[in-house]
Amino acid sequence: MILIVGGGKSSEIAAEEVIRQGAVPLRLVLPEETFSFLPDVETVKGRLLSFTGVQGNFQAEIEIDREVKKFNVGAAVIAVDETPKVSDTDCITLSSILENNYLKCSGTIVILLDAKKPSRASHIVAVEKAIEIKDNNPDCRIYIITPEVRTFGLDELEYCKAQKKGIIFIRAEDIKHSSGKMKVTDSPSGKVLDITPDLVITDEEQEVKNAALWAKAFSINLYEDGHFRLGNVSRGPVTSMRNGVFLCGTASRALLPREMDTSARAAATRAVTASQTPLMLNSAEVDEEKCASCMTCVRVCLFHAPSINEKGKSEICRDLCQSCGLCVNLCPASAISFKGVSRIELRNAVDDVLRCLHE
Amino acid sequence: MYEVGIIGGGAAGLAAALELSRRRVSSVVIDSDKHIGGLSRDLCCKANPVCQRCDACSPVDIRREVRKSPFVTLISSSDVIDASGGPGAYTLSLQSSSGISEIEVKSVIVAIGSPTFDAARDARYRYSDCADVLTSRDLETMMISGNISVPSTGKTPQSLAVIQCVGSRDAKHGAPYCSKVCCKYSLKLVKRVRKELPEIEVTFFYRDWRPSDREYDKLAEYGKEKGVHVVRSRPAEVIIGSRPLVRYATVEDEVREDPFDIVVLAVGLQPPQNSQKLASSLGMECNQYGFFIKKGEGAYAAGCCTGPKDIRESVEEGIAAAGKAAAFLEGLQ
Repeated sequence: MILIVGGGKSSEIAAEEVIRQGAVPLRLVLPEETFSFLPDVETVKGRLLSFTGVQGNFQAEIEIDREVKKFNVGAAVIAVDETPKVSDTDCITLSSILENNYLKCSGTIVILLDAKKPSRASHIVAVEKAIEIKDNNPDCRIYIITPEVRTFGLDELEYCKAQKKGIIFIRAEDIKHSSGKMKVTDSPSGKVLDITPDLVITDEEQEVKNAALWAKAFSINLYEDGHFRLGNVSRGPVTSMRNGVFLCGTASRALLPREMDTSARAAATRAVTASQTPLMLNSAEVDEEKCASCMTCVRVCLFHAPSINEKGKSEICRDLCQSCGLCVNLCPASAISFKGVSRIELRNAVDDVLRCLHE
Repeated sequence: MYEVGIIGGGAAGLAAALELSRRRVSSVVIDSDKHIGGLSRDLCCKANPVCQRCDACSPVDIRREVRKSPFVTLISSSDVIDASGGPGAYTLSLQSSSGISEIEVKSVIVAIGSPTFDAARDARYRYSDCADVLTSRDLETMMISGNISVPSTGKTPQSLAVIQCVGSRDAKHGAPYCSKVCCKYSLKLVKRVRKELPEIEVTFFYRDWRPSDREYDKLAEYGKEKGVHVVRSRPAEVIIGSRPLVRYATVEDEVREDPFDIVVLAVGLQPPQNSQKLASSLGMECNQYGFFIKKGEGAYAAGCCTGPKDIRESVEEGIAAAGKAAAFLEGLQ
């Protein structure tokens, strides 16, 4: 069974791909989260209390309706997407015109793309929508005001098409908007334009909800901006810093719809493979008699493996340890070692490698 | 008989082979070049000194793993000249210096990648007749060798210009689309160059800043650093002189000609060659430019041959294609 977290588009694609590859998905969404119904996928609403074990053999404790249930899962995919932040202004937003029919708008329409943390897809959505409105009503005048036109890859063709249809793009950073009037400074030329729009559509700031909650439950990290921290490049794409836990969706990286599809399918594929290949690494161990409880190992570990136990000594969680050797080398009391490998042997091995590099 | 035939040994093809080998599915990787690795083979690390996530090391890691795997067979210096059959039984005809041979596979992953734009085709930038005009790939090679010098004089460069969108967003040269990766790699490359040569003056000519991930303010921030100039302009031409002169219009509609020691052209990605023929023989489809469209069962496409993309996305697509192929093979049994 593959645990898939999230209620957005990425989780749908990942679940579909897991089924295609002959594995069973279990989708987990938070009780307050909205999600789309998928007929073939078991979806549970609950909270993840703990996620222990190793790749191929994880145990997930999930609280469903105040009852704790245990599931055995082979791997997990965190497929959480960003959601538009609810704004306090009564502006019409890009996502609301996708849901409602604003095709019949007329007069002067301004699409303002200046949100602080926009979705990567917002520019192409705006361009496509503008073309649709213009096709429906050729008399209307459409402005797309943005500091930068970000139509990536083949989306550029839609941008060219929009320009040919007479949609006006203004690159502007300084936009003043009050009582139905707009003063826009075209940033390349410095010219000031006055626009009186009949309708203003804006893009929304995106936010990741509950990322900290998931990160804690899965023992993975977040970036400062609240997005999931990706695994180091050497671990490959769609990885987190924990083996068997994979990341996709816009909560880990800014993605266009097509990139989101690729990312979710890649994460599902890696998760299916991981669930078939159990992994057991040689964990570092603490000699409690030597341990001075200095917290060095707790602070340096990238994988949250060491913690101080009830005896006041360091203890390394076997499931989380990646055998990186950082704590083994940094422990001031030499209390940490790999089973069967002495500290001196380890240092000699490192010296050998360094010597080879210099020769 | 191999389970999966992978055409192209670049980032996407090798990633697919590695994922299949993790599932103990045998595959054969066919590459036309003498060395496998594709376009991503000769890229330099952009760390300065912390990782910038340029992903240049990622295909190197994958290639090393693939070489060790008993489930992957590598065939280099061979072109796939023809393909026949259908889902479950394809025959690929290979041509190498030793003649023509045939390989039978059950599923195919096309990962033929896409070539970079030949800068000589855009005559305005004088790539073929001025030694100091380089492509971004030439600069990468120079970085790997560890010796950054002005080609015509051999001296350390004092100034450098980067011209974005060469062979992208350019309908005249058959690429009206954006190549998506150039903004990402150019800025990282420039930062790396300035790490090696802190005194160098860099001018970055760009049209729109389209970064990977959420780096929307990165270019504007970088433009505030001492010795960096960010100019929104598409230079008209390079004029050959004692130093190459870049002629461009400023935002105030004023025409300027500035000399630089080195001019770097950030070349875009072109559609793969002869893709229509390969696609039709495998029952696949291409769009009007020659990029593969992902559709159907049995034969899959991954990497830059489905549209311009960065290393990371290519690797992801390779992994996803491997998953699809593995699922297809299970369905056959």
